[in-house]
Amino acid sequence: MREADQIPRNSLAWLLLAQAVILAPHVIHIPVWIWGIWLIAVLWRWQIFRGAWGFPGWPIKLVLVASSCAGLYLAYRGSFGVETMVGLLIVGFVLKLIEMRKRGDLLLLCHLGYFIVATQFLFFSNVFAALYGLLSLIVVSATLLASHQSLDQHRFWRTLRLTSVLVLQAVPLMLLLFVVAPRVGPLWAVPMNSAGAKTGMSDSMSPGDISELSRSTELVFRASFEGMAPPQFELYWRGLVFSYFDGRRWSQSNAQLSRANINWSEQKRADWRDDLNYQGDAVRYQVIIEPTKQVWLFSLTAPEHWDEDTGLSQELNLLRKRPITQRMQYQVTSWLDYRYQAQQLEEGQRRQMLQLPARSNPRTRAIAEQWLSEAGSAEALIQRLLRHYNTSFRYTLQPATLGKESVDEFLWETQEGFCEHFASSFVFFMRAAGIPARVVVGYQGGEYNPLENYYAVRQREAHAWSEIWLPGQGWLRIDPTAAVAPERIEQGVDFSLDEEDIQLLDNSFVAGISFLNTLRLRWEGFNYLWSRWVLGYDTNTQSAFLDRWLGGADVWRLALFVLVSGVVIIGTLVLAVVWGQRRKYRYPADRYYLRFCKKLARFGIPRRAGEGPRDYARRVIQQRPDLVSPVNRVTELYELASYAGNNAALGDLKRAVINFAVRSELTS
Amino acid sequence: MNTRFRLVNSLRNRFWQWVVRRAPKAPTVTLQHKSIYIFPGRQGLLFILVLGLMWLLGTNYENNLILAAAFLLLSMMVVSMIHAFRNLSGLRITALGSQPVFAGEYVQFDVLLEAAPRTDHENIQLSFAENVSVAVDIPRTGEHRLTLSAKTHQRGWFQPGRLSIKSHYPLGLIRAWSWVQLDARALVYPVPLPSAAPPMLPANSHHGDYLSRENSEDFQGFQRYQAGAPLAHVAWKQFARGAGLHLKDYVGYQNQQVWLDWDGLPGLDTETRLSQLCYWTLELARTHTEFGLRLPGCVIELGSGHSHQLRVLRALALFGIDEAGGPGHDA
Repeated sequence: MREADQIPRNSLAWLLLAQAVILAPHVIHIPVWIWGIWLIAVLWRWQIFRGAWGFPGWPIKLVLVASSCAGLYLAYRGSFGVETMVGLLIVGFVLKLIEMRKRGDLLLLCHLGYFIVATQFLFFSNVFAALYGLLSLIVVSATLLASHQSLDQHRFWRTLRLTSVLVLQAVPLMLLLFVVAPRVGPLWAVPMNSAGAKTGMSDSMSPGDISELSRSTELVFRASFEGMAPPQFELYWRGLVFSYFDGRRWSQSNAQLSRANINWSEQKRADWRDDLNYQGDAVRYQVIIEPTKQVWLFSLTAPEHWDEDTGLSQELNLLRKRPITQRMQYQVTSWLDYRYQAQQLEEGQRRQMLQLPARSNPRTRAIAEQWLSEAGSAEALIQRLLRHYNTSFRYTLQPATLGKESVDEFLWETQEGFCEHFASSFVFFMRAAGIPARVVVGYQGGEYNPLENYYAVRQREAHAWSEIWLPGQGWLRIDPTAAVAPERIEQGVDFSLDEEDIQLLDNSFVAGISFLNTLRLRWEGFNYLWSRWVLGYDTNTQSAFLDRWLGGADVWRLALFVLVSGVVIIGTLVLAVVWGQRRKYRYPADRYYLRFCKKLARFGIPRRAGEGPRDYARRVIQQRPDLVSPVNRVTELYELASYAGNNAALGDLKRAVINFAVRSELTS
Repeated sequence: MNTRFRLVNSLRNRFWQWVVRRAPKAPTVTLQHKSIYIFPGRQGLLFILVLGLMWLLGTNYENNLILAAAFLLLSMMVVSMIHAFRNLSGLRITALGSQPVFAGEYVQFDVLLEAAPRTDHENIQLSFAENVSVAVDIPRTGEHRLTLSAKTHQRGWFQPGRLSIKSHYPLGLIRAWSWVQLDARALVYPVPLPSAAPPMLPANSHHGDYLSRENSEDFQGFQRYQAGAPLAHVAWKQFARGAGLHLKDYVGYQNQQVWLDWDGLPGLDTETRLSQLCYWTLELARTHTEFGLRLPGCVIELGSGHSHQLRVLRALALFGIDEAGGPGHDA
C-alpha cells in the first residue's frame, strides 16, 4: 500500500468522534442494538489500528450485514419508511468502519456522514437541531481536513478552528443560496415517517375524545392575521365535519369519505360553490401547522382562497391531498359572514344530515318531537334547548361515564360533560326534531402572542360545535358549549373550568409569574419566527420576500441580485485572504524604503542581501552619479524615521519615495 | 484517426505553450494567481454528487433545513477553493542546484521553499513530471529545503521539466496546482559500461604513454594475472599484443600514465564509446592513475585527482552537445 493510501491516526480519531456526534440525535428512532454494533466496530477498528487484529474475513462480515438487515426488518416490521432508510444508511456507515482499508474509504465515509447529518433534520427541526447539525457538519469537515493535513501540522484545536473558520465563512453564501434557490416541490412520492401514536384530532368523535385531547399543550398550529384579527369568540378553526352517527361515535359519511365533492385548487370553480355567498369583510391569514399526519387543514369558515394541493369540501372544510408530515405553511382568505345553501338542501344531503341510528336514545327522540310541537318554530326550539343546557348543565373535564344510550343519559340524567357531549347531544336532538344538523370539530380560540403577533393554537383548544340548516338561512353555527360556559368561548379554556379541572390540564406554562411568562412568550415568538421564515420558507414566502426586497421576482432581477451579492461575498473573502498574505511591516518606514528599493531594482540596481542602507546608497551613487541627491535624501529620511522615531520624517520619506523616479541614463 | 491524433497533439502543445507563457522559466518562482489552477478533484465530484442527493432529499421532503445543509456544504466548497488557492499563493520556489549523476540514475535537485508572509502552506506535493512526489508543510515565516528526484535517461544536460506543485488542502474537495519551470539543470554522465581493456591507441602508433620511462627502475617485471588484482596493474600493452593477461610488478605505480582515446574504440557507436570511456575514467581515478582523454575536438591533458576526474566526466557528458543547451527533454 502506498503511503498516501494509509489511514493516518488523526483522521481515524476524528472519524470516530464524527460518528459519535452524527449518531447521537438518531438515538430516539434507531434500534438500540445499532449502538452495540457501533461499539463492536469501534473496538475492532482500534485493534486493527494497534495491529492486534486483522480485518474481519468475509464470513464475519456476512454475518454482521445479514443480522443487521434482519434486525432492521424486524424493528420496522418490514415497512419501508424514512426510519428504515436512515437505519440502513447508519448500519452501512457503522459497518464500513471495519472494512475501511484505504484513505479513500475514509473519505467516502465522510461523504456518507454528511448525508446522515442531513437526515437528522427529517426528525428534528427546531433551532437546537439546526445548531447541532451545524456542529455535526463542522466535525465531519474537520475529519476531512485532518485527513488532508500532515501529522506534524495536526493539532486538535487548530484543526477544529480552521474548519470552523471555513464553515462560518461559507454562511453568507449559504444564506444567499437559501433565499434565492428555487423550491421546486417534491419530485416524486417519498416514504413518510411511519407515524407513531400521535395525539390530535382523529377522523371520528366519541364522548371523552376531545376532553382527553384538551389536556395536552402540544402546539397544533400558529396563525397570524393580516390586519385586524377577529375577536377571540369568532375564532372557530374548522377542521372536520361529522355527519354520520352510530349511536355513540360521530364520523364522516360515505359521501364525505369518497371525496367526490371536493373542489381542488387546480380545478375550476365547482357548481355547488354558487350556493356560497360571502358577505361583510374578508380576513386573510397565514397558518403554520405542525405535522399532524392527517390531511385536513384548519380554517375559519368560509374559506374563499387557499393554496395549491388543497381543496374545499362541500362541508366547507379544507383538505390537502397528502398528509402533513412536515411542518408547513398555508394561506387562506375567509369570510366570517356567509350564507351557504340558503335556498335549498339537496335531497341526498338532507337525508344524510337527518340520519340517526334506528331506535337509539328513544327518550330524546320523544322529547324532541314534543318540544318541536310545543315551540312551533325551529328558532324557538333551539332557544329552549340552549336554555335547558344553561340552567342545569355543568361544563367539566371529568363527566360521569355514559352507557349505551349516551345522548339520553347525558341530556336527562348526568347533565355534565365537555364540548363533545354538548355538540353531539345538540345535533342528535335537532335531527330528531327534523332539523338537518351536523357536528363540526376543530379548535376554538388560541393564545395570542403580542410579541410576534400571532395566535398559538394548542390541543387544549380542541373543540366541537354544531351546525344546523334552516330554510332561507342555510347553515348556521350553534355552539351549545357557549350556552353552558360562555367563558370558554370568550376567554379560553383556562377560564371556563373549575379549579379541580384546571389541575388536569397540562398547565406547566400557565402564567404564574409574569416575568417567566414574558420569557416564555419571547421564546415561543422566536420559535414562531423560525418556523415561519426558516422552516416555512417556501415558494410563496420566497416570492413575497423577493417582491419586497428586490421589487419583483423577475429572472433578470434575481440574476443581477445573485451576481452582485455573490461577487461581493466571494470578493470579500478573496480580499481578506490577499490582505492576510500582505507583508506586515514592523516599522512603517520599512514599507516606503522597500518601495524605494523596488524602484531601483527595476533599473538594475537591486539591493543585495544583507546590504545596509548606507552601503546600498553608496553603491547606487557609484553607478548612477546623477541620483546622488534623491538617494541620499531617502536614505537619510529613512534613518531618521526608523531609528530616531521621527514622525515628521516619515511623512517626508513617503513623499520622497513617491516622487523618486529613475530616469533612463541616456536622457540624463 | 491519425488526423485526430495530430489535432490532440497540437492542442496539447498549445496548452503547454500557454502554461509556459503564464509561468516563464526562472531560477526563483513565486506562485501567483496567474500560475495557480483550481478544479474540483475526484473527492470534490463525489461531494457534488452527495450534495445533489441531499438536495433531492430536502426537496422531496420539503425540508428547508436539509436544503440549508446542502447549500452550506456547497458554499463551503466554494470557500475551500479560496483556501486551496491561498495555500499555494505566495509560495517561493528556488532551485538551489544538483549533483551530477550517471544516466539512468535519479538526479537530486535541491529546492528551497519559502512561505508567503503570514501564511501556512500545508501538505503541498511537489514532483517533477512523472516522478514520485514529496509532501511538505511550510509553516509561516519558515522555509523548507528539500530534494526532489527525477529520473534521467541520457547523458548531457538534464532539465527536469515542469515542476508540478499541487495540494488538496483544506478538504480534499478542491485540487489546486501549478506548473513551474525552474531554471535548473543537472549534468548527466554517460552510463559506465565495463569493457576488458581501456580504450587506447594500439602500441605502434603514438606509443609509450602507458609506462613512464623515467620511473622504469620501479618496474620489476610481469606476474601472472590474478583475479581481483587492480586493473591498473594489468600489463595492457602485453595484453594488446596478444600475450595474455599479466600484471606489472611495480614498486611505485602511481606514476603510470594512460591516455583514454576515442579512436581506441573503433567500430562502436558514439554512446557506447562514451560509456566505456566513462567506465575507464572511473576505474583509473579509483586507482589513482594519471590519465588523459582524447576526444575528437577535445583533449584533456594528463592529470589525476577529483577535479580532473570531474573535468573528464564533464567532457564525456557533453561530447557533441552544445554547452549552453543540450538535448532538452521537453521536445
